[in-house]
Amino acid sequence: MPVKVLLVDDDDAFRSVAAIALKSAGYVVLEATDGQAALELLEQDRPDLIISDLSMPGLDGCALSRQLRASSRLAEIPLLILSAHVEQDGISDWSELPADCCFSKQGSFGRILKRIEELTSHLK
Amino acid sequence: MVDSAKAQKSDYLTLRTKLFLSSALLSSAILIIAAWVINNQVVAQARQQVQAEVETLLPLYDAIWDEQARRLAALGWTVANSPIVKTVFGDPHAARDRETLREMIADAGPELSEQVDLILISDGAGKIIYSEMQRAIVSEMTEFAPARAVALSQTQSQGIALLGGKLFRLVLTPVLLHAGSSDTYNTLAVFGTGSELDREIASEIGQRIHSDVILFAADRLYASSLESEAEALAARTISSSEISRAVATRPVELRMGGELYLAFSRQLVGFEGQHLGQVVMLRSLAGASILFRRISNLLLLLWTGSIAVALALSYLIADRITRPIESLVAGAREFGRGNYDCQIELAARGEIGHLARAFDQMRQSLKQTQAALLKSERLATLGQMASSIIHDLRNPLATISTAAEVLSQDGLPPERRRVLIESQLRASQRMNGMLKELLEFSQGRYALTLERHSLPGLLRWVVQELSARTLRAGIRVEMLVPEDLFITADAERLRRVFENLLVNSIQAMPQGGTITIRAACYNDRVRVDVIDTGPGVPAQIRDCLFEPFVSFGKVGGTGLGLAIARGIVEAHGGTMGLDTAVSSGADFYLELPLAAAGEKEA
Repeated sequence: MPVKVLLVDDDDAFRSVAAIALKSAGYVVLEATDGQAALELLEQDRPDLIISDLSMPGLDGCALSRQLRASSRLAEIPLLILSAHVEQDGISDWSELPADCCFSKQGSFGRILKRIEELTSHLK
Repeated sequence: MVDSAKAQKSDYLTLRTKLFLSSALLSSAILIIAAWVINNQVVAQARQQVQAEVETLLPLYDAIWDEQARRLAALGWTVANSPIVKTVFGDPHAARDRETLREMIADAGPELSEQVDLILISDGAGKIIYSEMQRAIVSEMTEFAPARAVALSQTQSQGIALLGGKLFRLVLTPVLLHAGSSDTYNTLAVFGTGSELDREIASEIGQRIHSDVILFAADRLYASSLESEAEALAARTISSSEISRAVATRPVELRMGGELYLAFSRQLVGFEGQHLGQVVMLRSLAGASILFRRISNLLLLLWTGSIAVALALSYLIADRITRPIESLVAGAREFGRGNYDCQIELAARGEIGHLARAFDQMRQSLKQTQAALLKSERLATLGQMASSIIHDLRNPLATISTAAEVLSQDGLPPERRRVLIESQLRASQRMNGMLKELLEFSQGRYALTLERHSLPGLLRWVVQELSARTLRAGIRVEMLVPEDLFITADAERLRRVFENLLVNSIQAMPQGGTITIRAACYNDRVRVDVIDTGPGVPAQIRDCLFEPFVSFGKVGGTGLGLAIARGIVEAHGGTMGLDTAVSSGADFYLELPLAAAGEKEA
């Protein structure tokens, strides 16, 4: 059973590139343009992992993270924050975000894929 | 501005007027007080002087009066003792008819009738047998009580008498005949000689005592040394004054026809010692008035001079005060507008000079502080800009690098390869657009290519361009723009302004809504409103909305969009703002000048 990843980003260009990168690595990719769209999608589908941008109009990454933790059904889904505002992987400037889920948009996308691999290995 | 300048102008005038009024008032007050004091002094002095004169005049008057009395008395004796009188009255059988007596009088004294105005002759019992008044026989007079008294007392008597409506000073002298025995005399007759107290007498006395003399008896004026008009006035004044009633011993002040007089009097006493009237002597205080008037004229001249000096001084002082203040105010106003190089006049002396110098020091210190502040602000802005640019450039950079990473893999399907390359292109275009925007903003100027354009055409182009995005977001765009609106504008730039506003609205309404574009003309300007039904602009950023690097949860922007949009609109001679009057959603508006008629459409 293929691993399903939800990709949330309002930047169309980056989202489509990241989606292709994920698909090329063998994941099934769901896409949402912001936090609100992601939550609506999550009502019908349950991905194995969520990758979200931080700064988005409407419901942003932090708010999405809060909503997920608050939901009994979705709290267990691993969340990765991927943002231009994160300077360095594993360092969070936002108290409500666990540092280990924060990744910078800079650098190789390969390390993101590696982290996803680690988080979803038990599913394969 | 004009109003406040006017108000300030009038303030200066008030200051000048105040200075003038206060100095004029002060000098007027001083002069009025001086005039009052001088007047009092002069009048008091004059009164004293006149009183002192009066004190020497009264004895003089008495002397004149007594001398006349003595003359009359002497004349009386001369007549009574003349041989012809003795002859006529000594012979009991001598005829005493009027003609005889008349001849006797003519013989008795040389020109007696010329010397006196009244001649009375009574018999030994005091019965009047002859009376002549101003050389005319008065036949009806038979009784005169004092004559009987003199006939009895056998002594000469003198008094004032009112006879025939005239006032006389009369001397009654007995004609005595030795009765044989040693000390007894028989009264043969009584001779009365009188002179009328008339204008002539009054004038004579008046001349000698340098005063006006009024003879007043039984409540009427009999004679005076005054002109007839002044006489009537004097009669009225004296009859209503205490001097006509009481036996005044002290001089009394009288005001007559605006002139001040000092009046003093001597009694007119009848034969029985009764009060008949008085001689009122008036001494004018006009000398004092004239002196005072002269001083007053001098004071008036002085007052006019002082007012002129006060006027000149107040203008001079006011000029000295207000000119530096005006300079200060102008400087402060320039300063307020942000011109820190404004020069103010520092030459003024005194407090104003201190103020000016203190102000200038403040200006210099503020100028330095401002320069330092501007520098640090520019640095802060640059820092903010740098950080914002770095973040904003990271998104398209991440897109490009991630796409490159995926593209480097082998066996990628051509469809995916195409999407990746397109994304890279789009991202780099976006980066280019952002850098261009940044460059324009940092240069702060927009080179406009102005041409006449149809405003609805321009708006339709932008709406069409963004139709894919509005369709996807479920946003309806409503155009309420009249067709015949033309503006002179740089179409490319203005399209970006509208695009910026529409994109903001689209991003504010991810769940769909309505964007209304409305345009209306006001005079020679057109106002365009872009109204959305989104959540509106948060209150905390409304004030700084058009400042650079203010964005609210937007992606892919430099935070310069609205700042640049406003810059472009202002470069077109327009204004741009947020209408906060709407209750929900956002209403961005811009106002542009309409193109003049006749310009050719591009």
